[in-house]
Amino acid sequence: MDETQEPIPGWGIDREAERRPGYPLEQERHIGFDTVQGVAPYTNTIPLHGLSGIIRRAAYKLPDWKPRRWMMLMLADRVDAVEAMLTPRNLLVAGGLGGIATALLVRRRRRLKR
Amino acid sequence: MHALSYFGPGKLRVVDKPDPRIEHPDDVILRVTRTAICGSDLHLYNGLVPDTRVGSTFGHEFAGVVEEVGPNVRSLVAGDRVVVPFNIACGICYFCEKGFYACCDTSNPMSDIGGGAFGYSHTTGGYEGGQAEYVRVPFADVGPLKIPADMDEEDVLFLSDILPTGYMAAEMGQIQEGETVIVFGCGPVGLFAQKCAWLMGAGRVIAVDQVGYRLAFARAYNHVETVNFSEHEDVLAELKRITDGRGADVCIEAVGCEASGSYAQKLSGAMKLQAGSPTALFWSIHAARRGGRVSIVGVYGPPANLFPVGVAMNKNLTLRLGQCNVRRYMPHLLDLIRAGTIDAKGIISHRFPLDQAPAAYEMFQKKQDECIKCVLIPAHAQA
Repeated sequence: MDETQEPIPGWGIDREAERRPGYPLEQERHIGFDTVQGVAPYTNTIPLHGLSGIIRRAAYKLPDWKPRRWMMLMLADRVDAVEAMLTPRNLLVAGGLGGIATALLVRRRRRLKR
Repeated sequence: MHALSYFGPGKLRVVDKPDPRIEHPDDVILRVTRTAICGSDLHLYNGLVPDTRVGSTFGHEFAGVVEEVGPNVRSLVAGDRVVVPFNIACGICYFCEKGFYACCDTSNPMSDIGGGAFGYSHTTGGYEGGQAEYVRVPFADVGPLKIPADMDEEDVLFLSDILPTGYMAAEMGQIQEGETVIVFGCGPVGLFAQKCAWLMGAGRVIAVDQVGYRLAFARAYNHVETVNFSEHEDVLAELKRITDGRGADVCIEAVGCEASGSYAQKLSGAMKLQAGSPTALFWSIHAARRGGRVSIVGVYGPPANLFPVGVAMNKNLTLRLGQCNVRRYMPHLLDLIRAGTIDAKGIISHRFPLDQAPAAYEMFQKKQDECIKCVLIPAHAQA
């Protein structure tokens, strides 16, 4: 530290490497308790579904070191986001708008034919 | 309960979700009283982390009150206030016994690349996060740290991630007394890495960013020298110039995969030719002196990034990197907060009700209103 600087609170208090919790990294620090074996700690609150689920299932069959696995998972994420937009309300609105657009196009073509 | 929910890149809503329940005898259910948005949550928000399913709740920085206790939990009872590490670790596997809690062998069935984490996609196990009113905490005898009666949740909230991550970043730099340390990034992790570099006896700490208010905050909070890279045509030449032409003894990369500073990197990241933009990683390798050390705690996704391994090899650099083994650092850092050496909550710039979380994300992402760190407060914890 530059001597002209204001003192930094705590400067150098962890200078000694032995004071640092991660040193040495190989040091054993058992803090765990015996946990119940045989029951999975994890859960699956968001099950796979739809097209995104099919892509994800295929991706999980690939090993971690293949970039293809991760690119497929990212593709599945995008598909999932689109699937989330396909709610009954959105489909109804989209169908309605599509119907109106088709009707207008048909009317226009009929007028042009005359 | 109310919980943040993800609906695709840039789309978040607070929705009603079923309350979590005890699923394993080692679980507790926590009533969240404070939760924060991490810079790495923005990678999820922007859709950069593979296997982020629609409906996920983010949030890996939280503290709260134990509401319900699994039958096998011995160290906690209902009513205990705890802060929870972002790693989910069993405490007894090969890695946990060595203190590598981020590498737990038991907690992540979805991938070999790392252990479980709260609210960080199915790549880290698919656990629900803490940006909610309640959260299930597995292996409750291992991770959570009881909050001393004389401290409040905000005093210790950042023991959950960013303070230990900043400390581990400095520690991995193996800083010797008087050495020069460059920290890339003045976000919350960068700020704590700068502070911890001083604790380890650094002679100079230089912070690099392009956001003026964050550089000003770093100067005030950490008394560091600052370099605004947007003011220099060649920031590496400037960093060499101010480090006797050699470069820094230690570079710390605290930015991750959404770095600014190079259009080519940004473009290749956007085109998915690589996993985001690793500009800060490039600069860290180039700004370190020959034989120096580079410590990387910025988050990168599992797809590949272009990485200047030839430069690192020819410069004889030592690279150390990793997710923080949070539990290992918590007691030591709690002591430092308690002693007043680290004012961890001093970086909180904004507090939002949980129900306004989407607005908070937007503000944090766009760096509006001089935002440094956002804390979310569920309705039941609001005064």
